[in-house]
Amino acid sequence: MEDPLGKLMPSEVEFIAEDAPITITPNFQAGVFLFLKERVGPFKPQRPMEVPMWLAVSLRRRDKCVIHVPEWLSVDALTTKLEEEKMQQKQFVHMPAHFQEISSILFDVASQDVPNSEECRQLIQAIVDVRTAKIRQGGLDDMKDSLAIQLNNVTQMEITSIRQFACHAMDAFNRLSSV
Amino acid sequence: MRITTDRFANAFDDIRKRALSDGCSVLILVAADCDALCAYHMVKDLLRAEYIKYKMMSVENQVDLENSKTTIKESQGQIKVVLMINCGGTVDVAQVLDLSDEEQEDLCIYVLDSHRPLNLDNVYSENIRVFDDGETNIPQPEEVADSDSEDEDEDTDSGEPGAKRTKWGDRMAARIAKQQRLRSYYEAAYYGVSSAVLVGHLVSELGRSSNAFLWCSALGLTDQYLHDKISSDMYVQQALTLQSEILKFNSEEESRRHRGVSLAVEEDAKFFLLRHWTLFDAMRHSRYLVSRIPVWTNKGEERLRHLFATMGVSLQTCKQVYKTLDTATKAHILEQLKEHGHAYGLDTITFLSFTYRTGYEPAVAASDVVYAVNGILNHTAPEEDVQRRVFKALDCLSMRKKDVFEFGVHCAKEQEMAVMNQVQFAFQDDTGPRQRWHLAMVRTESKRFFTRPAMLTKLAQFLVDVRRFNTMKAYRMRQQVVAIQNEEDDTTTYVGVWSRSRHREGAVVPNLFSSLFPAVAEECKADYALPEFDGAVVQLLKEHHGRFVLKLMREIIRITREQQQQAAAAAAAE
Repeated sequence: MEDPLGKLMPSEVEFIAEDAPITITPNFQAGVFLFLKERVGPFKPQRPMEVPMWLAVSLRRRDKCVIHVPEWLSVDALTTKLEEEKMQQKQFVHMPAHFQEISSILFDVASQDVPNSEECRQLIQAIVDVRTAKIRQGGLDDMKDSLAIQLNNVTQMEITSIRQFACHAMDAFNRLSSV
Repeated sequence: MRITTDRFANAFDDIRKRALSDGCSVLILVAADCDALCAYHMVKDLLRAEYIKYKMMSVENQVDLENSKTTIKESQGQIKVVLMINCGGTVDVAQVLDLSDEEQEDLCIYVLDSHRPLNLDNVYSENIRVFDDGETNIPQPEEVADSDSEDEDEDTDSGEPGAKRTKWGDRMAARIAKQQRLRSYYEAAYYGVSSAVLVGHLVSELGRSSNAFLWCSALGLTDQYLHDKISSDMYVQQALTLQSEILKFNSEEESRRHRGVSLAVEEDAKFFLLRHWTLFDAMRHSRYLVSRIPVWTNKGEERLRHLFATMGVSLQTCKQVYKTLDTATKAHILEQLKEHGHAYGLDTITFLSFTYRTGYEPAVAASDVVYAVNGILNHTAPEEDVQRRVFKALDCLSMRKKDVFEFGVHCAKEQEMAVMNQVQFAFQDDTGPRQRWHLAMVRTESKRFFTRPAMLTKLAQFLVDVRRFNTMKAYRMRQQVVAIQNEEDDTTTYVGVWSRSRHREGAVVPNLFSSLFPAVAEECKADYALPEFDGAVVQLLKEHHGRFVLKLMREIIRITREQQQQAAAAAAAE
């Protein structure tokens, strides 16, 4: 049977990312919302609370809350990560889960809430570029002789982007080596 | 009833509560002018954020407004709130929409209209809520209502006949005073605060101010200023308030750093679509410049070249597309204009205006957007009804559709050139100096541009300005009426602009034609229509043209004479 995970699209990964919790401060009053997966609330004005990302986006679009930008989305934190990433040739630095998706959503919806959004945007792009380069050059060298590859500290989005190719490549190597 | 600015937020809450229902319960009637569209754009965003469904209908004139009543009746009670933007303020809404008493109670009608004078039936009705901009001219009910004088008769003691007669005399005098007050209230048409600016107040009361909303307010305000609806004093006052709001959201360093929308307050020159043309063309088509330096005459053209020479700007630079000039040259040109303009009568060549920047794109000026939107609204194409034009104009307003914006700019240029064309002919064709007014008939050459009354008003204002600076002082105070003969339905449309002799730069004169036109039309016993929301437009059958014109001339002469006598008396009293 075909592996359903093999056909995961980036948009679907983003959808999964939207479940990640984020802190907001609502400016309205409401009771508890009952959703399929969780319950959120009650909403008290000027009191910070955690909600899933998708709800935060919906509220922010209607000007009903202020989003607290996660700590890793700042110029200093990102610069540090970028330096670390550049120093290591083959290893990956631990990045927060779904950092690409979360940062792109925040830039879209709440760019005023992010301090120095332009610099942060560029830093995130640089980090993504470095990691992609690492994946393409480094990690796949081991494909020739392995049955499975483990990449540490790689986010779901990055794995999805190479999963299909890597699996087919390893299959091909396997077949060729058994000949 | 009037809703004062401090109660705007309550009004919005009320709308929100009434609007919550399964179906679509909000109807918005929007007039077809830039200010109304800006206000609608903001209201639309507010309603969307509350997930309130609404229906929007464009109304271009009173006929459209009357037709909207079928929409209300057909909804069979589903529509609970009607919001009228820049329409309905000057007429009795309950009558126009033909509402029965119970309908009036169920339906909540909000009127946000910058046209003045507001109809007192709306202001003093319980069910119609009018957004108030602090207007002080509105008479109190006691000042204008007929008192129940009959009842008083029985109460008074019989007393001596002398006392009774004086009581009757007093009552007559009071009644006459009231009628006089009413008449002077409705006499002249003018404009109040822009609807977009009022919605901006509402938005900031709700704490939801943002660059997008501020930009719409700025556009509404600029529209009023560019079309001479408010005086420069009022404009500057409101612009400064907007500026302080804008600075709260757009500090210097931040605005250079992020990709989102940022606004700035800068000086803009009074040249028509400067950034979309060459300097030469822009100056040659600006009412401000052309009225002071008549470029269609040889002498005028000479003076213009002289001006360029004095400024040290080569003709080549002038004829280059302005956008492509480097910033140093642009700054130099503006500086020189301000320095040397006085000698040529160009005193206040710049005014405080607003620009809009998003991402790394070049800034867009408020006046350009306003001209583009009006260009689209005044566009005459065979099958373009008002709704389509309004949707296109709203696209332009969203600042995201470059091609629609370019189209609007193109239309605006065409229309301005048509106006200049007509002005040239009308001015050369001057009727004899003794007449106290001018009637300009639109010539057939570019007639197709002038089917919309807004264009006729533009033409009239242009002519007034041109005469103010190019005729001898004694003949300057003449009223301007522009007329166009409509092919399809055998009618003539007249638009009038009132001017005053001692006219201060930037002041706006209340338009007496709004009461004069219907009065004269009735005297001629002609069937007339007041089609537009702007009072000074009247439509008559062609056959009445001669008589109407004659009687109008007589009335104008009479009124100007009265005004002169009053002015002389006032001067003598000092």
